[in-house]
Amino acid sequence: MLTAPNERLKRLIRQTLLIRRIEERVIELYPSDKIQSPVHLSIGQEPVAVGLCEAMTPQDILFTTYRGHAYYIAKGGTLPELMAELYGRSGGVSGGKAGSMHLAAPEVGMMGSSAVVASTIPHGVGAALAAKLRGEKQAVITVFGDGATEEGVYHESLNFAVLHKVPVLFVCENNALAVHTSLAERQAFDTESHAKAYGINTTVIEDGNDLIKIGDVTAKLLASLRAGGGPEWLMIKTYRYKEHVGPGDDFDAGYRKRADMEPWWKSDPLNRYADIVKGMEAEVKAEIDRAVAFAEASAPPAPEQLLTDVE
Amino acid sequence: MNAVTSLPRDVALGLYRTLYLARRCEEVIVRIYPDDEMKTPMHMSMGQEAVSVGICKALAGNGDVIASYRSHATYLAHTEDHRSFFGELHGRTNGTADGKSGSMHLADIPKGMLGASGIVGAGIPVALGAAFANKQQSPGRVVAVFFGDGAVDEGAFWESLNIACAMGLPVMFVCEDNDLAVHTRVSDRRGYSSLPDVVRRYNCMVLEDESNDVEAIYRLGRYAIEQMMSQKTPAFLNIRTYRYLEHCGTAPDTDAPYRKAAEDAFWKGRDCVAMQRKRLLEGGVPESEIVKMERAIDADIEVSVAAANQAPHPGQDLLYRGVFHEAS
Amino acid sequence: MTHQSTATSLSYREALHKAMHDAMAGNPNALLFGQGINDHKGIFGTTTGLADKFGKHRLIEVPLAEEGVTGNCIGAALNGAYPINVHIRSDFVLLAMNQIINLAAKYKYMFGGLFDVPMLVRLVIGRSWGQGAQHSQSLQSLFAHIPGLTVIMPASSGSIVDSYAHAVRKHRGPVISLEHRLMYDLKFEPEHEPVVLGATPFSQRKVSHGSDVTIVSTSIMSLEARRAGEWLASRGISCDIIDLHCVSHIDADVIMKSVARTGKLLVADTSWQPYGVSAEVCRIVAMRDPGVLKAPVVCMGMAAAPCPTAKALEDIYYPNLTTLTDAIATLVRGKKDNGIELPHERSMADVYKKFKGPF
Ligand SMILES: Cc1ncc(C[n+]2csc(CCOP(=O)(O)OP(=O)(O)O)c2C)c(N)n1
Ligand SMILES: Cc1ncc(C[n+]2csc(CCOP(=O)(O)OP(=O)(O)O)c2C)c(N)n1
Ligand SMILES: [Mg+2]
Ligand SMILES: [Mg+2]
Repeated sequence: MLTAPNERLKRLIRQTLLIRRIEERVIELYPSDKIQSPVHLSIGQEPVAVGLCEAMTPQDILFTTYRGHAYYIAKGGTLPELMAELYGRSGGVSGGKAGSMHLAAPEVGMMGSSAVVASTIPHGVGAALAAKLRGEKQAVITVFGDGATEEGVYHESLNFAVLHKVPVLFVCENNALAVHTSLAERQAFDTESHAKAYGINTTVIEDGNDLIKIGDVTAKLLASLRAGGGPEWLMIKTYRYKEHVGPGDDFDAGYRKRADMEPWWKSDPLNRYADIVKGMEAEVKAEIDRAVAFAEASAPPAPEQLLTDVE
Repeated sequence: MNAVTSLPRDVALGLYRTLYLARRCEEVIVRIYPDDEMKTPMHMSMGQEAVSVGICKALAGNGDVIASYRSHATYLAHTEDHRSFFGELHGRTNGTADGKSGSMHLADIPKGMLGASGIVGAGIPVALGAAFANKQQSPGRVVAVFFGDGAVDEGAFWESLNIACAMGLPVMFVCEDNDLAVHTRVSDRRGYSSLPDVVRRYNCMVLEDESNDVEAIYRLGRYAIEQMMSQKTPAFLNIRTYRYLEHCGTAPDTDAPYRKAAEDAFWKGRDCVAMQRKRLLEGGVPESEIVKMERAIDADIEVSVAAANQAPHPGQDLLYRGVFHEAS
Repeated sequence: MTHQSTATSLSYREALHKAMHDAMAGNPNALLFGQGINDHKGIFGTTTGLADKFGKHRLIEVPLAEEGVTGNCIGAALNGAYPINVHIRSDFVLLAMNQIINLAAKYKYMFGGLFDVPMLVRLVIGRSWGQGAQHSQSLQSLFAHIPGLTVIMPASSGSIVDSYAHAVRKHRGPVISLEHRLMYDLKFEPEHEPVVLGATPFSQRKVSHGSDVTIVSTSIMSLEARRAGEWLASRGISCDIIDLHCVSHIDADVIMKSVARTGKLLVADTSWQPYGVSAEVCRIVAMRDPGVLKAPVVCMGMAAAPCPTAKALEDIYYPNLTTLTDAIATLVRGKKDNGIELPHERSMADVYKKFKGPF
């Protein structure tokens, strides 16, 4: 049960709202074809990113996936540069070369996101190894979907992290779907007890809408990492409202039912705290308008950019 | 180990016969390798033969096998064909692959020996495909895939385990656990303490053996096959064993820094060939009968070696044969 | 400007050991990852003793997990380390192609220059004596095809020492180095080091000056070309030999200048010809100025099949001194029946076991 809204909760709600509304703006803009980049929207899953990032210091670093808008924003990436990136403009955070699936902002510890499922998991482990060698109190989070745990590299990464006791927090963002395939069809093992069998400490948050809990649990786990306790494993259950990729709804596609969404919709912080949200809408909208205006005004990358930064 | 066999006499003798064959073939390799007629890197099974022999015999002719590059014992246990074996090691046209594959890729497709790979872990996913085909085309037939403890560290093993379990494939994962990947111990490569314990988290039957006893392994294999059939799940067998010779090559390396004297003595004290021979004797098989069998195998192996030395070398015409897209 | 080699008299193996040592000593954030790096064999003696000196926290013995470990290296590189990852056979890196091609090669460009991924991947090409299809591949063209990767094939001790120092100290991107197992025991004297033809140690090298034919070669084929060239020099044929070294970044001018002089080109690579180094060198000449050629280009490499283990086939699978010398003489004289006496050598592997240089 969430406690009465305080400043902290308001901050988290505002961030959740910002992510929701900016993605909704993406949906609005999408038919105009101004955003020519496949978008994997996090709508419904935003609290996971918000809670995790709340617990991270700016020095802590994060590796994530193609479903990365929420993480980019929650970790502190700037909005205008995000929009310009989605627009493929020179003002984008990566000059228009990254698009939606490869968002990064190293200055705030957002170390990149990859379109290849599971491919950033070992990066988190290697980065944590480097942090440990330097003796820094830096913690690393690597986020991946439930589908990613089927990839061999997840298992290789888990083993290496445990073997070398590196300060990495594995976060499985479990929406119980890989594209349109359910967990039961794909997995013959229980990921949590499997990770436990590696000797890694595991935690599961059933309600991925509980901003405060996610923030608190993450803070505790990161503290343990910094104290040299070795890797930690966290699963957060959540729900994707939109189609796997693209701006649409797909409850009529046959692989899931609208009723599945009900409980999540109810616990959605933006619905639970609708009153608070209402008071934030105008400001959030203005912020997004500015970001869109920036993107619109930003020039496309010059042809010379084609061959810069290749190596 | 049970002092006296509980298996039918012919089965117990058959196990010994094959164990002896595998051991003897490798002893001959050790003897003739310095002649430099076999120009192929050898990963010797010596010490570990009970795993292949026990499991291949448990398949009772109704199974396919995929081996690792440490495939001599597996190949011999499954096919008993030492003519082709020595032909291949000698790089001759009477080998399993006209001499093109050497020691690391022994195969006999008609007999269900579906190959061996020099890439650690590479045979595991292939076994799933074979099991899938069996499930459709030859119900009741299982695939046993042999791999080392090192292969378990590869992601491909975990991907395969999940898929096999999710699909309920008739595949038997046989981990030949000699505690070593080249010179590196399991404890230096794994963060977790018990592999069987991790595998138990899958929808899979998990069995273990530490006896190095061919009959125990045979029975375990039989049990696994029965259970796989009734429960429609794969099986994972972790079988502890011990490699006598260097990782690659035919020399003992007992003095190498990674070896432990006590461990060496422990395992050599439970040599799988000696144990089964002793059991037969104690079970009343006359030594003369055993010796007669051994001498016959010895002589036959010498025939194979001679045949290999006399067989033609592959000619230029064979260089391109077998590349999938062949120029007409 | 040309880069000056700093080589002293070292075997290829010693050079590799020195390069690894210097990397660890020169950069406290350098890390070495590999299977067997800390065992008593130490990757053919190229990492032996380093763990004692620099600690096992920096010399990291890894599980068999090529993709995962490559990803670990990328993550470490992104977080300030300089990882070196060694594979005792180049074939094993095929399990890590996702991380190398999809991630390491693209991490800079894909993020618009926000990141560097400084790292070195050492691959050993196995060859001879029944290594067979999966322990002998020479995979340079697979990597060189990918923008973002720098692919080198050091063909001398000096080339190792200088190129690895350059990779570790200066280069900010992923470098793939293919070492050749047959060269490990060869000693290279400084006077036999080829001359570097460009501004960095990654540049192409001149093995010998000549006027009758240009030979563009890689790795151990550069040594073979030199041996063939020496044989032919006393028989009236003079070879201009270029050791390509950095196969991903070829200085077209170096090749064109030479071919313009000789009019004849032979490419001797350690791998297959289609879509490989041979094809690439031909592309360069064809696009720059095919008119400089006075005869069709000749390419030498592995037969277009997986590598067989039988010695009888392995010997004809690879070019050897005899076939290379013959090909050069035939190209220069314009006919098969060219009257040039050929050296007799059935197998290169036999020679390299004994061969002690020069070069
Ligand atoms: C290696 C790889 N295989 C397949 C795909 C295609 N693909 C993209 S996302 C996805 C599902 C991944 O599911 P999950 O990890 O649960 O993440 P989610 O999309 O649910 O956030 C698949 C199969 C891919 N991008 N990369
Ligand atoms: C993918 C791959 N990586 C590395 C190697 C090099 N290598 C050959 S055997 C081996 C050890 C494998 O150990 P294990 O699986 O336990 O088998 P064992 O040799 O003990 O039978 C290694 C690392 C390889 N052949 N393939
Ligand atoms: Mg999912
Ligand atoms: Mg082993």
